[in-house]
Amino acid sequence: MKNFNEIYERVYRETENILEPIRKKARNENIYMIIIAIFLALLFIMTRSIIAVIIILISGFIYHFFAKSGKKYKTMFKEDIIKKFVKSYSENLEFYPTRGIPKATYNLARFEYYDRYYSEDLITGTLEGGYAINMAEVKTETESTDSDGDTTTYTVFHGLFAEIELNKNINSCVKIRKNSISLFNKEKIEMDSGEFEKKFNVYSTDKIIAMQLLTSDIMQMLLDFKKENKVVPEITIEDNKFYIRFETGGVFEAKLMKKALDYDMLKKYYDIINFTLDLTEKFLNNINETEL
Amino acid sequence: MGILIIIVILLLAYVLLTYNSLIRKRNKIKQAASGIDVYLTQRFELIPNLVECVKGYLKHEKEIFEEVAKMRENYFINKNLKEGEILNNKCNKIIALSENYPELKASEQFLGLQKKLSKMESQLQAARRIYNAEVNTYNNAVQTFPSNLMAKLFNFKEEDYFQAEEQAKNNVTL
Repeated sequence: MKNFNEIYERVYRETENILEPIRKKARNENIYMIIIAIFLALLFIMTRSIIAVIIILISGFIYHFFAKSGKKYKTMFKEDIIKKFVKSYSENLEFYPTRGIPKATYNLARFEYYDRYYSEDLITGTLEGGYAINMAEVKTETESTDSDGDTTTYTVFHGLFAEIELNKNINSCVKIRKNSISLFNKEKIEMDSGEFEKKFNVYSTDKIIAMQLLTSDIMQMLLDFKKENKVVPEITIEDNKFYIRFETGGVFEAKLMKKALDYDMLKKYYDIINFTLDLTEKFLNNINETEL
Repeated sequence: MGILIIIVILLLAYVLLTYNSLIRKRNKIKQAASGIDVYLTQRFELIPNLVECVKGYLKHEKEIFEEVAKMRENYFINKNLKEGEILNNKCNKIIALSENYPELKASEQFLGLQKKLSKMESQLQAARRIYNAEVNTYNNAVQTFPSNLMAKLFNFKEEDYFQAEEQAKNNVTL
């Protein structure tokens, strides 16, 4: 595993000259389109003529069929930058933009109830410690229908979700969730860190195992990550499976207004992947040391 | 008059709920303490095996074996957790002393015992943390307003934590 600057420089060298011109072209197309759209809207408001409508339709048609740089750039961004970024991080990892994590796998982590499930941008492979990892963007939604029969869709979760197979079985389930009011859940465990209690809730049927897993350094690691990234990692460890998710919103998406190789964005992905792996390793060490 | 009755009923309900909550929190401490006792007992049940395994090598440590045997007997009668912790540290001391003997360290019987004792030590550590977390919740209720008024009224006293310093004083790393 290389450090972030090494990875960034490598991906930069290999992709900057190819992608930047396409991004700029796509960005310019978008800017021109916005200007034309404003102009046409004004034209229509002022004239209210059928000619204005025809011009709008023709412009839309031209944009749809000829201005393809945006789509091309977005596809190339994933294929070139993210694929290379993942490969540079670890030779054993692969990135598949159109594949995701199956719904059934996400359900095993028992995060929430939802009606719709979407997943894409799969990172999969085996890590140095020999454990298999699957990580992908996941979005879940619920639907609610009011008395008039109108259906509204709400996003429940949108971010990164990972499943890691451990080489040890803890024969129990420990869940770490962001802090929320939990009055009647009998599985809630009081942790011995006031700061951790304020940010996270821990649930398990086996208090001892939860305490053995959540040592003070792991609790501090979770708190530090939350503080630095403003994202609360949520975890489920059940038997030999480790699930973690980060509510980051959409990931691995190209942004036309930002440089193809946006340092901060890639650093954020790097930190999340690194944190997931470091945390898994720490949990595994605890599991091995305590002979769970 | 009606309002007065409602206020009295609300007050009584508050007293009742707070009192029950304090009792529940205190019971959780007792439960956590019994958790520590379970792991201490499991660990102390292995003492005869440990002594049997190492006494041939630690011939100059006869005193500590006698002391440990006596303390173990007392613990099973009194179930005093503080004494239990002292005895636990003595067990750790025996293991640490044993590590000076390479032949003993290579013995399968000793390694098996050491592994079991390590596992129990980790469980014991977790049980102590659970205890401290429960004490913390209870003490917060006893000290903070308005539940502290009920605590004073019904004589709920603050509980002591398992002090890390006390443990560390005699602690010998396994």
